[in-house]
Amino acid sequence: MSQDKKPSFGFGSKIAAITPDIAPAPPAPPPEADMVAERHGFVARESEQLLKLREPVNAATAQINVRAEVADLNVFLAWCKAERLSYREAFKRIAVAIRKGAV
Amino acid sequence: MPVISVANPKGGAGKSTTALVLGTTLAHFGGTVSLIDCDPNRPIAAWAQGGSATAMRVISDVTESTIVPTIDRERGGRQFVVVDLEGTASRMVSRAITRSDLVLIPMQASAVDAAQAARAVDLVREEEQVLNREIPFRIVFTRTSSAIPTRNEKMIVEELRASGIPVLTTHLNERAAFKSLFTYRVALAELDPILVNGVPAAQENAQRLSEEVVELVATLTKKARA
Ligand SMILES: Nc1ncnc2c1ncn2[C@@H]1O[C@H](COP(=O)(O)OP(=O)(O)O)[C@@H](O)[C@H]1O
Ligand SMILES: [Mg+2]
Repeated sequence: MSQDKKPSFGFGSKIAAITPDIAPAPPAPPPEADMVAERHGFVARESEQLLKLREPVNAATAQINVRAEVADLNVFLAWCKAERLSYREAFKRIAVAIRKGAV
Repeated sequence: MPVISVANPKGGAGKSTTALVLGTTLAHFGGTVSLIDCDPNRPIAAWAQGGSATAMRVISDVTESTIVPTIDRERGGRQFVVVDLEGTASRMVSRAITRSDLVLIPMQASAVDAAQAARAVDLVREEEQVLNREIPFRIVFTRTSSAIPTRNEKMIVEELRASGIPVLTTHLNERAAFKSLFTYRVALAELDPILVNGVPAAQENAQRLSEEVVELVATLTKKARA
């Protein structure tokens, strides 16, 4: 396989017959897979990283200050609480609804 | 498609050399290949800094928690995903094994290597039970003489055969050219035959090994689909 030697076409075509996966990824291995490995001495070697609760935001962000009627604010706050939304997520929903013409 | 992990908890068994030889040879013959370097010492990533013209993609920023999604991402876009694992029994190793279509277990013909290889085999067999699917594996002898098998080697081969552990016919023989891959940080085809002895013989060895692996995965894929 040096540069001046012709590659064997037989091998090339055998490689070409192997295709990338089109099937979706199989389900994640069950937790037992790690437990079995641990029993064989294949243990975690990294300190476990804390999951990030908030999704990182890639878009530009800015702040606005809102002065509104208490009753309206309470409607908004109650909705955030019921839906377990952060203000940013709640505002996103409103923006999506406005874009769709739903309000 | 095939995800080929190279595993043996023993350091120096020939994992990185096998992974590099296999990956660059498949790429040389037109295969799209990703090699995932899972060793915290990053031997393959360091090799890639040498500026080889290989079309093989090297990925090195993986952790225990990203190894599975990284494999899943690569297997969708590349014909071959080769995973070079560290010489330690770790969760990274076991997780890569659960995602593999073939596990290659390189070992030198020594009792110490054989004992560590057996650990990898035991793990593969037990993960098969948990995942409820076959995880095909093969022992690959490394650093053996191309001339004549030693008595030690014959004994170990015989023991493996007797315990039903499958072994690849092709060995990765002891060759200066294989060692030089990491010295010059290029692929076999890029080594200067004036500086390095036996490059053509090493290329032939690399091709034979890769052909055997490709034939094996083709058979396994057919079997899996049937
Ligand atoms: N077939 C071979 N011929 C010559 N040297 C080899 C061969 N295989 C491995 N080596 C050498 O043996 C040492 C360990 O090999 P390596 O592939 O890094 O093992 P591992 O990844 O299992 O720790 C390295 O110095 C490497 O150059
Ligand atoms: Mg290594």
